Amino acid sequence: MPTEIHIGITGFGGLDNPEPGVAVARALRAGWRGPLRITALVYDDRATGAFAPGLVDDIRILPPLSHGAPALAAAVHAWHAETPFNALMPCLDLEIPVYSHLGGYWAEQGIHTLLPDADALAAVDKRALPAFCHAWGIPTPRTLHVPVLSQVPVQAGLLGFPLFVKGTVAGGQRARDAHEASLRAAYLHAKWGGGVLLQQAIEGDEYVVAMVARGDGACLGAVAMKKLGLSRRGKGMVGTVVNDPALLDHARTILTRLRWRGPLELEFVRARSNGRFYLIEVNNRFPSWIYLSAFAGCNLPLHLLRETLKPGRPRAPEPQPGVAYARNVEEWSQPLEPLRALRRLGRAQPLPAVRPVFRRKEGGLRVGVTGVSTLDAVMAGLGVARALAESGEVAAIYGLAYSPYDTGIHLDDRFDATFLLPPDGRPAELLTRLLALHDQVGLDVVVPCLDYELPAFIAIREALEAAGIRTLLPSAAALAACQKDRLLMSAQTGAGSVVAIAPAQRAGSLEALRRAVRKLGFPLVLKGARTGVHFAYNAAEAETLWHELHAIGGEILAQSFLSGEEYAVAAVFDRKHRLVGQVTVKKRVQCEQGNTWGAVTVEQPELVHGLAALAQRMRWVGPMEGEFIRDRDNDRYLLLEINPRLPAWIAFSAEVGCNLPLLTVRLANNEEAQGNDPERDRLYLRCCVEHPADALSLATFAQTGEFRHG
Amino acid sequence: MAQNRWQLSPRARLQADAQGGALFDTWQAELSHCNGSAWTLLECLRDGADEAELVQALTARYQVQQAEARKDVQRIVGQLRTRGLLENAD
Repeated sequence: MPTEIHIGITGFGGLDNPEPGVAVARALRAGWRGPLRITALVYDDRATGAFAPGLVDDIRILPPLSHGAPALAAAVHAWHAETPFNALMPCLDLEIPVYSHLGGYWAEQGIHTLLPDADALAAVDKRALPAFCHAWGIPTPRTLHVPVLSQVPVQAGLLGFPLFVKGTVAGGQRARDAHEASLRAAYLHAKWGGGVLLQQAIEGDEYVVAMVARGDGACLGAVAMKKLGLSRRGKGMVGTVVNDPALLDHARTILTRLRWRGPLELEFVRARSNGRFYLIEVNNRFPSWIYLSAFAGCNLPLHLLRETLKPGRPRAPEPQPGVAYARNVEEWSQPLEPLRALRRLGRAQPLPAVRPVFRRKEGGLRVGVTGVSTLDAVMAGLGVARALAESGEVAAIYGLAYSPYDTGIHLDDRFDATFLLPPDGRPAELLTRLLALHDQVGLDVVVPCLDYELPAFIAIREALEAAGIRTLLPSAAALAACQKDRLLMSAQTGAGSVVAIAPAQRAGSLEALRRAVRKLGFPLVLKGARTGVHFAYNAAEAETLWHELHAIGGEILAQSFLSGEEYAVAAVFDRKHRLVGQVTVKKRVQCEQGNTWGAVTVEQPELVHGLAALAQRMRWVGPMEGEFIRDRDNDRYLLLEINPRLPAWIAFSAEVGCNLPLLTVRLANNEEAQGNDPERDRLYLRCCVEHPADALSLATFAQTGEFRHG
Repeated sequence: MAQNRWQLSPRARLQADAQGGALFDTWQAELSHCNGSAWTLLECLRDGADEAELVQALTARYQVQQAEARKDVQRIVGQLRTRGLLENAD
């Protein structure tokens, strides 16, 4: 019987900007032969990835890094005494120097690590990297470290625009002028300290290479990746393995120069002007996309662990080019207790793996669902499809995508097929496409899940109905009434709103924004028609954000920042505007964009009645979500906004016994339907997960407009 | 005068579908979808072909004049060579 290997891994947080530990753990689970015990080492209960069912065996709270190496050593020593570790694999930039420093001490106790030494780490520090590149003749963009923020405009002007403003540890944002550069610098310096780095922007395609170096610095394995689908923040949500020999040779040469040990990631841009690969950054740990290496037959976390435990292992095989990944979300429900245990006791046990049962019902309805991506934010269609699949009450679920890079198309357990819709959302083209799909696969019901497409669906609703495609949608007037600006107007005029609404003002112009700032103060919340929530902490930030939202288009609102606990009510209303089902949650974990990554079911009748009354008043039909905040100052509930569709967390409704997507489909089909009371005190969590994909299939999808699995 | 024979570079990967097929450059991750006639040429180039053979493949499968086919062949070969996806066959 092989001996169980016990490994501690960090980096299970990050939410929509996932830390690498989850992907490392997934790769090890996929590749390790024999018993493997994984302990997730986390800093707080926001590390939702640690609770992914079946991923890790145990969760422990680490002392903060600011408490220094002795505190970390003491904590690991205590756990090691209980259940001995064989290895530790840190996955966060700031941890690596500390773990490296303790490596020798741990090795004496039988805890193995494979990490770079202090000299190698110093060479890849963002402030030192330009000098390293210069010493070895490695092409790199001109980079200046600016420790004093008041110098940023001048130094940025010397470099030229556009440029990148980067934090000393992580993060980077493009700046078009000195004003933007100053704002970006203020944000990054506040987060990481040490000033900022200004880096010349080189136009070209980005490539990244994940590598593992042996103890002697030799390359154990490498996987190069090119991002195909990027979020607005530049994160790679879809990417594919490439095997350009020039890139890989260049990466191996750099690895040799670094005298590295363990994992790292090299970030390059291939200049359009001359085809050369410019090294823009080195990360001292695995990247968050590293699970791709397992899909491609070159499982780098696996090879790292093997080499860590027993040096001198065979080289990893070459990865298969064209193998790709698409980043989606894994979501589940569980009791509250493990979260409480982690907070109270510093340790918790996640749930064992549960394979959800997704069924189809012969003779059931065939449902099309839009909003099937996580590219910029997790879209509701993914959760709607999951809830329908779990119900076992529909015959087929079709994804309706707007881009070949919509990440949900690869979810073969959820979608029977995915079809491309015309990207511009014009009603006539949308209708033509849906009627063609109805002829092809027989659509019975369509559930639109994106705010911006609702007017088009409402416009073609009758034509769809005539063809036999049913929907459950509000009227155009009702939709207009729930738009952010109309809601705030009813609050301002006191025009008999049935729920209290958080004060807000239109900010359609810079002058209007400045008036809002004078009235509402800071922090200020800015909301765009097509974007999430943004926070501004001073006038300059507010104006920069305003310009960004203005460029995207649509109404801009400024709202008071309120402090308090946030709630959401997802509800469905029938054609007589009656509430037929609802799930109320208290938000427990939110990302920087304000989206819900953790929530608990609660009972808040005041919120439900308020929303139902508002829906009656608006003569609402279909699904909606009301988002509320309980003002910390006076305990009063205020409505923040209404989303005219189901929320992204909606799969949770199926898990707590009130499947709102299924209710929506039944009502659309003119069936009688009523939801049950949802189970209380259940915890919803989600984390990112990469699914395997094939780059070639994306091209076919873009051309044919149809994606079928298998 | 012997014509050049070309062959698809090993860095090119092909995948057929109902409308032709997809071409993937494994070095630069560039994805292209090819219609039926372009796909015919790619399939010939996978095994190696000269211009005459490529023209013949098009005229045999599609109702197209030789001159037109030759233009198409030269255009596609030019694009593939520019992208580094074509090499001289032995």
